[in-house]
Amino acid sequence: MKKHLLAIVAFIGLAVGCASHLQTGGAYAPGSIVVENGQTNTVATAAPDQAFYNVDLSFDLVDTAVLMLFDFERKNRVTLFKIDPEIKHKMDRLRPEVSAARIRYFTARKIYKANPTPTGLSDLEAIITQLTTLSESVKAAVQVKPK
Amino acid sequence: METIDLVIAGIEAAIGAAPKVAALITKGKEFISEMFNAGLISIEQQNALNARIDAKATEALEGDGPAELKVEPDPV
Repeated sequence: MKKHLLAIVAFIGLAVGCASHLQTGGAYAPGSIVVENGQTNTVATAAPDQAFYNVDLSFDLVDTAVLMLFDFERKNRVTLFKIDPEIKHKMDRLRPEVSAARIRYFTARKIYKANPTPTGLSDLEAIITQLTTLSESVKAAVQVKPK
Repeated sequence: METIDLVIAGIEAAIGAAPKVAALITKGKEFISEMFNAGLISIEQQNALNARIDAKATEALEGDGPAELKVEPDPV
């Protein structure tokens, strides 16, 4: 599990250091259209927030993976329950934890959007790490171990 | 449970998961291409991501949250 976490952290770090950048005018790089001397340009109205974009992108990937695992169990519940009822019971213990982590992320994101600070960004990153740890537990819970 | 039942259960489970797995693979590809393209992350890409997370946030904070995260009774 630790290996996975390190890989994700390294991946985000590598990604942050990549040469890609945000086009002005997008949600993470606000801008307004200015017409000057007959030419239309988009001028930045705030500094692009590449780090926030990277954090949101990481969250989206981890969140989709976690929801996919819960959806898998839900759609195949009857079959999986016959194989091992503990699969559902373990998943049920994790459901409220994942819901709470998601709500923490969305609340912290709202705060960050209103007031972008390095601390706010760190909070978002910390929640993604928690969600990643939970995703490992969810993955372990859904494993089918034939008896 | 017989071995054949387990095999069938495995196949059913895999079929049930297939569309979501495909969606995740697509998202993974998007993630990698968005992070590692050495050029510009377009306005459309930024807005799509922002809208996606906003929609998830609205569902979680103002609605009931996704159905797969609800604790439901055991099947009978």
